[in-house]
Amino acid sequence: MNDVTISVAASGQPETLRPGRLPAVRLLGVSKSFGALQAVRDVSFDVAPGSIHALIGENGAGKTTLMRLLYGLYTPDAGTIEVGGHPLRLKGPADGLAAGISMVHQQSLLLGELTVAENVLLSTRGRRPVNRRQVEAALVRLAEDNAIQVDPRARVRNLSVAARQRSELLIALHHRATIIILDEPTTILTPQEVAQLFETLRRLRESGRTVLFVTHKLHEVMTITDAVTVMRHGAVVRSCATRATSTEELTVAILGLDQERAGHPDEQGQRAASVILGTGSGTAPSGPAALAAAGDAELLAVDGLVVRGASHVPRVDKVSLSIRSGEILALTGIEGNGQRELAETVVGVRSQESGIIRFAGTDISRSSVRRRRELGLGYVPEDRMGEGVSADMSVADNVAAGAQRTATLSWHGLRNRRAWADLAAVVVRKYRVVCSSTAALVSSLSGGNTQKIVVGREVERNPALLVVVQPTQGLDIGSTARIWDELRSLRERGRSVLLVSTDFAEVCALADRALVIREGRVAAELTRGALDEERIGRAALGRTA
Amino acid sequence: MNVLTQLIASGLTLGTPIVLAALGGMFSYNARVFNIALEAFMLVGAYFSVTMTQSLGGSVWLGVLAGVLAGGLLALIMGIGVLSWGADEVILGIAFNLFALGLTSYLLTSGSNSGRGFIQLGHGLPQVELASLQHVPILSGLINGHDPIVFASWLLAALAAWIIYRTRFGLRVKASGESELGARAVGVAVWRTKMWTFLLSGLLSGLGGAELALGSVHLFSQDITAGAGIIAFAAVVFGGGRPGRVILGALLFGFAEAGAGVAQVGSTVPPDFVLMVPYVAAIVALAVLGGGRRSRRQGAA
Amino acid sequence: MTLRLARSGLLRARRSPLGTGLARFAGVTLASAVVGSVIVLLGGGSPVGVADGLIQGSVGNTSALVSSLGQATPLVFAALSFAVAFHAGVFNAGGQGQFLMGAFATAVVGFEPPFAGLSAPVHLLLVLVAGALAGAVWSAPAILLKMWRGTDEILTSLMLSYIAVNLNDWLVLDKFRAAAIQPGTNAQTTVLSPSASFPLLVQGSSLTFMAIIAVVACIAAMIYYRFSTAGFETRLVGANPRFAVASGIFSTRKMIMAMLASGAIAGLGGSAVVGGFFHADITPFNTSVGFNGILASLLVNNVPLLIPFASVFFGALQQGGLGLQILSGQSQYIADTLTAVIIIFAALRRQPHRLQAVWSRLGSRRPGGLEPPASPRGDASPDTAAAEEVQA
Repeated sequence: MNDVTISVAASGQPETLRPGRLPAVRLLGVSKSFGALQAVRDVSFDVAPGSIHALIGENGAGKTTLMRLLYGLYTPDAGTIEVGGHPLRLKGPADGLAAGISMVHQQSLLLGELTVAENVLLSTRGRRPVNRRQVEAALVRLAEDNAIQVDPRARVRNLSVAARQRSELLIALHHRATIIILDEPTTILTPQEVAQLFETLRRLRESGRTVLFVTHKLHEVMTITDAVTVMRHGAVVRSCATRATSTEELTVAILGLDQERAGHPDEQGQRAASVILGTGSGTAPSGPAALAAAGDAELLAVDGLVVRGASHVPRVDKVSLSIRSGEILALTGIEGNGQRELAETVVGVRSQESGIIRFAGTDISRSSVRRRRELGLGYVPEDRMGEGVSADMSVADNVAAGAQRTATLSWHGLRNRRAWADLAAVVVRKYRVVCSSTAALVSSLSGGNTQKIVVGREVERNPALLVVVQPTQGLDIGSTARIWDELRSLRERGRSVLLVSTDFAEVCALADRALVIREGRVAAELTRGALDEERIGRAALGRTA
Repeated sequence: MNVLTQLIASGLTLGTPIVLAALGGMFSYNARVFNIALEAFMLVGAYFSVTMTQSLGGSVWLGVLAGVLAGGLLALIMGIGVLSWGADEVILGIAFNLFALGLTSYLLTSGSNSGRGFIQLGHGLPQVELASLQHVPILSGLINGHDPIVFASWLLAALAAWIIYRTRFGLRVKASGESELGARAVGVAVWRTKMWTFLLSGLLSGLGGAELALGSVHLFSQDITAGAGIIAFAAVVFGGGRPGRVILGALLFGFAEAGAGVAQVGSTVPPDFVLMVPYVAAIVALAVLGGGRRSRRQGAA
Repeated sequence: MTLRLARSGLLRARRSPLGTGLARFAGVTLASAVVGSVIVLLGGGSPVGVADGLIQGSVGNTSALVSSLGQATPLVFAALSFAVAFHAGVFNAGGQGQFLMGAFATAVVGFEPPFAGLSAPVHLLLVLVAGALAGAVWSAPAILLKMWRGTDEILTSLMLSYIAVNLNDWLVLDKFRAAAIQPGTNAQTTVLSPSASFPLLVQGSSLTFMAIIAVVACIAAMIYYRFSTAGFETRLVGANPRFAVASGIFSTRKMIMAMLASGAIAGLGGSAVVGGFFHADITPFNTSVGFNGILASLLVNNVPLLIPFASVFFGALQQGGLGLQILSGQSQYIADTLTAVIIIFAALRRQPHRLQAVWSRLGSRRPGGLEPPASPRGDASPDTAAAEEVQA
């Protein structure tokens, strides 16, 4: 454990370290903007060598941009970056690599078409023909030495998400990285995999390397880091040793609650706080009230559903489930085990090989999407931009899509322009969508606002069953809380939600029941009361108790 | 000469220009650039190879060089338009095809050549004619009657495959095609790599055009390529950018036309139908194999 | 109204080659003029002379003007054909072939026995129907293959165009050749019978009532896309097909219908050419109207109401080229070349980064030379893209 104190004066400027120890990384007055958006604003702090340092903040706080500046993907507009006491002038990631800085990205940037070894070859200089075998051998050796399980000859597209992450770590070591940056590494991992990762990180620290760790999960920070820097709106608000602070202090710093409403953090802030804390349990309605809301009527029944993907292995393997009105049923587990395909088949954008789907008493197994929507089904897809909106069309157009044939919006085949504009205005107002006007193109909106439109438009149609897939992925706290509210209010009105989410915290916060899907089959059914992240993780990985 | 030999000879003659252009298109395809302007590069290659042979004192090899460079230059311009100036490659591709047609037709019918509509050279590329092979079946079809470029194309094919599979440049091309951000994150110069693929597609297609004009017919007429570049691109899509399959496709289409030509002699089928064959073959091949574009266009500049 | 249409996102094509703005227009014009002049010089001509000839030939006198409009008419059809497919997300590159087949069908129904005896209005109607049908039939394989096998429609429709050229050659030379025509000149089918002759707008010209039909078609398209629910659904299919499916729209059906409509419109363009110019089907059918129509549509970002304008412009250019050839013997192909050059410049969407840096150094206070991150969606501006990335 490093015995270095990094304390921060009120101004946010770092004080000097113990004499004789140069910081591994020192940032001084670093700024970066993209057009009108100031992403990073006058950032200064130190990172001690041989430590694990967390960079935390809400989405949009500038953490990723800052790390990309360090890595060399971007160049700063102002300020200096020093590594080991030497100022850094990075013109590209290659320079960063040369300086010993490696980054493991949140969404793996490894190229799927290539193998792990080929990806390594790509980032090395020189014009000699490829000597694949040498690289592969070197990687195998490294993997053994560091207890990282990766096969360098595997094609990246065939690797699991966790394996890809391990590959990136391995590649970082191959590049002789002394500073390793990880961008939100645990969002895609199960609790068990997170523990594995932390073990690896500890080993790295022991070997003298510096780890920089971007996250928004406070409990992780408290578990493994030596120091933490908090960012908010592009600036540093706090930078100190982990021992010197607490979860509550950090929450306040992240949300800026001490600066905003002194003494009266609002409901949303509180809820947001519990979201960050990763507990989630404080946000679900109490037991009896929740159960009372669920009716007895069976709204959706799926029987023996088999869905086949591109390969011969079925993506959904004889799954049966049912949803009552007034309940939120979650499909969860590790991403890629068939949850999404199941939801898509219920909606009708995917067809099943066999099995029956009954909705509100009608057999919809062969019905079109249009028919299912007419019967009261709503859909919030995972791929927001690819399936949820049409980015080059206006907000109003997007709000009307899906309901363009209803009596309110159309008249004898013609669009009822007034009704469209009214509906759009309603959604924008109710969901506090930030946009210049309802005629603005969706492409000008942020991710959070876009998702609010998608969710808002579906909810406004008061569907009997709303199917949502990964609804808050990549969203900021505010948008997330809002969407959770909407889903809960649907339930309170006696509607139902089929929630597909691999964010266990979200599942625990929202669901009445959760089905853990593994390899296309229901591995476990957990009801509120016995629903927690640990159990989900275990069922998802196939380990019992 | 028996029919098979005839077929092989004719197939090679017709197929070589397509193979060359397809090799070029293969590079840009692997970089996920939907480059349908191979036709334009071939056409200018054909035109300038003939005219430069004429004006540079009759040296066909200088003419070939001119054709190659012309194709390369046009491709470079298109590359700048797509990569630096953000034009859509399909739109620009169609525009360049029309531009090449217009330009070559215009130059052909202007000035000293006006009124004739074609340029006829007295000679063309030297052809191999080994007396010893004259009566050997198959082999004589492969060797005799072909110019050096045909044989060079075999080497170039092998070279292209080696580059794609075994060099770092090949990896860079594939990386640039799959994900621009990912490639840049690893330090690949995406712009430069994609420009190289444009250049290669232009040089090789230009060579194909030169071969077409100077190889057996020794002339240039309006729209002499008549869609050969499009067929070459179809071969690229058919082969999914993989050298072996691309070459196979190109040869297939060339041999289809040759086969139709051979079969047509003495039959009642009108000659126009022979000309249709490569296009029909291409459509059938694409239908059988799929080859959709949208799924591949993520990394396009 | 038209500018508002373009900016209201009505037809925000996935790929928009032309931004709005006077500066851009001036830039394209200037660049095209420069490149055009260079080409003319290469061909041994004089740029001023050629420019003069083009203007004379296209708008120099009333008859030229009328002919320009006559040239524009088939272009409108070809352009609208492309636009209609494009709005549904289908890239119909085979307009040329559909055009040819439409011309052929028009010519045959125009003189062949079972039809020749009919009275004028009916015969004319049938002729047009034949043209449209032939065009639609010729466009069908491309879209069906796309739906059935996922084959790219650009390549297949393009191939079909080349097949059509050869097919047309054979049909005109072999099966339907007009006996009276001597060999050596362009071969053609028998001339249309009088009952199928197209009513002229101006006597003795090539300008027929098809011009009016063309404009009406554009207006109808505008109404369809802007005011009808079905038009909205079609646009949605073109803008984001997966979203359209999730919204309950029958995307496949819409795309097929759009392609068939596109082929039919192109076929009508072929009818227009036969009715206005040749009064028969000929070979070689020496015009790239099908492709020029695509360019014309792209020039105006596929906005139906603007298509007539682009078509008149390119039509005049074509006519100018013909006039140039007749009056001064210079090659008419300069018109085609210029058309392509204009589109090439118009297709450029953004300035290269280094040039941007130069402007910003000259203009604003922001430091220049920044490399914006690559955007995940090719269309978004660098600023939006960066904002998106930062949000994540």
